[in-house]
Amino acid sequence: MKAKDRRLSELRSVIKEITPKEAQDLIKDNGASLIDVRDSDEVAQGSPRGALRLGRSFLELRVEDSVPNLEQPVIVMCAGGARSLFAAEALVGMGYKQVFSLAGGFNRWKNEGLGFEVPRFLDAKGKERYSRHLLMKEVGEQGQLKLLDSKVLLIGAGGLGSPSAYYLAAAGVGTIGLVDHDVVDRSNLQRQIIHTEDRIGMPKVESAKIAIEALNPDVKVKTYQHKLDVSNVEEIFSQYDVIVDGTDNLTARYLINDACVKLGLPNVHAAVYRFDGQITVFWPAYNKDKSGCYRCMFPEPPPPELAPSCAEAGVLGVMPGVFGLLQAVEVLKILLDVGEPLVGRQLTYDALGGEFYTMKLKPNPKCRYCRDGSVFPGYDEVAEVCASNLGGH
Amino acid sequence: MTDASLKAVSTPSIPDEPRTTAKTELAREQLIRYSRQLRLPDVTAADQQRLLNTRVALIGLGGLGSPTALYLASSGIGHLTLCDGDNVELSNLHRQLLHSMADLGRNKCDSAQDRLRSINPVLSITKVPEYLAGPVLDTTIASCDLVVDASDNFPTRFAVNASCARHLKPLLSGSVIRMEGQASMFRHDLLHAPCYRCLYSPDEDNLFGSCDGEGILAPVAGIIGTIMATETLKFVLTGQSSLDGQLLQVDARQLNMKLSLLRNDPSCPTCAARRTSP
Repeated sequence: MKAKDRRLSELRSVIKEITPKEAQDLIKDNGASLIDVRDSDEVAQGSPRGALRLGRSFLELRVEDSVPNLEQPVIVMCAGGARSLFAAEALVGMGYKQVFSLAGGFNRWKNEGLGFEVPRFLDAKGKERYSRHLLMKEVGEQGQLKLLDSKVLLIGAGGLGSPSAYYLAAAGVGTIGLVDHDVVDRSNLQRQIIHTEDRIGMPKVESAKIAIEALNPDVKVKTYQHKLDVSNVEEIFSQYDVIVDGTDNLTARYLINDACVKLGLPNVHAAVYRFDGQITVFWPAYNKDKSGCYRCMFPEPPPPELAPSCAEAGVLGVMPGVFGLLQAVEVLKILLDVGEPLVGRQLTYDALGGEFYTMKLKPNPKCRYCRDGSVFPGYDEVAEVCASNLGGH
Repeated sequence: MTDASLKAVSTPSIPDEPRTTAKTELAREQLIRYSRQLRLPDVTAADQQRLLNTRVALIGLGGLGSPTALYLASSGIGHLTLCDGDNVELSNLHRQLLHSMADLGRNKCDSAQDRLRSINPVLSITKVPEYLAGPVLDTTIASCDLVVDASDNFPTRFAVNASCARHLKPLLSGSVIRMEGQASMFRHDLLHAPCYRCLYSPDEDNLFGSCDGEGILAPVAGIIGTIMATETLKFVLTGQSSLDGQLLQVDARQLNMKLSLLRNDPSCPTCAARRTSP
């Protein structure tokens, strides 16, 4: 008898082997975890849905991140049922109380007609480009694939939208939509870092597209070189997962809010003025917390006589940079479902004083747009009200 | 107000330009470029000129150095000394926006210079394409007004801190890991301010290793970098930063921002050397 066969028969006497059908029941009825210990090229051919694809080489080092409870039943699976016995013994050694080995491995699982999927992987270039994300348990390979499948729309490719779009593209958000009807002006370059001197005069969405494509060819950029209005807002928004408000006028802010409420989309909202700025996420449809919308705070636009001046306000160049990046972080948190997004909270930063404050924003129970059971009241035709001092550009 | 009284207060030689005084003449191109900044109540043309006359040494052109450099250049910090011995790699591009695909394999100083000039063509840029140490480190630090440490390893951080102490240069220092970041301003130009060495000792093994090899959520580096750029501008404009002797800690999971006061360590060897420096 060869040494390996002797060893395997020893292991069979201490590790319980179960059939694929028994495994399936254990997963369904007892919440067992199925751990696939095969190499990634084998997993790429197919793996049971929901299996933890931890591989063999880092199994002991990583298993607790996925299965922290040692009492939880675990089923170890390889291709034919031999390697899984060695791996199962290692898990018993770590203190897992109920460890099983799948007899016949994935081959038998497949032959018995049980369900599996062909998982997606990043290719070698993707693994290198996003390596710093892959090292984080908050992102990892599946998280990165999720980002690549995500679609984010930025309204405004100016002070806020420049850094936001640029970093989201770098981070590998697969589809980025940009709405801006303006062209690049020299006075933009003091803060709109996605644009350059030699693109002065070019539409901002085109200029941003050039910068993004030079940085990350994985990203698809869709440009909308026109103003948002009631006739186009839903058609555009409904193609995206998250909306980023980087506009500088009230007409757009109300329209963005109303469409996001209607479509249930998160609205990552920021505004910058001189040395101050603020950011929050309006998302009444958020399933983890109750929160309101922009109209909970400002139900109607101000009458023209109270509207702020039309003159462009001064802004320290880097302020929209800070807030555009805070917006980008919030977008990634929402897409990856990590941490706590700023839903129902507003962060204010006074750069001169160097102070940050967070305050709670309560939903307004009388809000026409987002109160419980409200029927969408339709879009208001909000006239052009100047509000550049609320703006991000 | 009548036309006559208007004439009495305006400077006849420089008509109709915002905030321009006889003392400081920004070129017309610059008045346009910095116009949104010059509309701030606290930023005059003389202030903009001061930004243009300032030299900042930027150590590290990676995740933190990229956003800091981009915003210092766009805001009109006139002289930048860029220091980095690394070449651009594909794994940098998920957060280091000074560089693009076409720059892969180039030294980061070269790549950064092209990118920064594409935003602001008149910048004066000095390149130090090496890992700073020895006499080059001292010459670099001595020649600037403020040092921004955006490096990714502790030996460099301690060496930069010690050199700033020798030359009495304010040091703005930042770091990022996973979803967290921090920044502080160490005022080596003041006698009793705490320094980086007061905070960390090179023998501690609880230092979180080199940042190289750790995960980073891309825009978190951007947040710390833009905050460092903000504090640099404030320091040049007002002579102080909100991070003077303070540690800002940012946790992006909840977006918590925490500011804590730093104390100087009476037994800090770097501070002792600073007090006796000429």
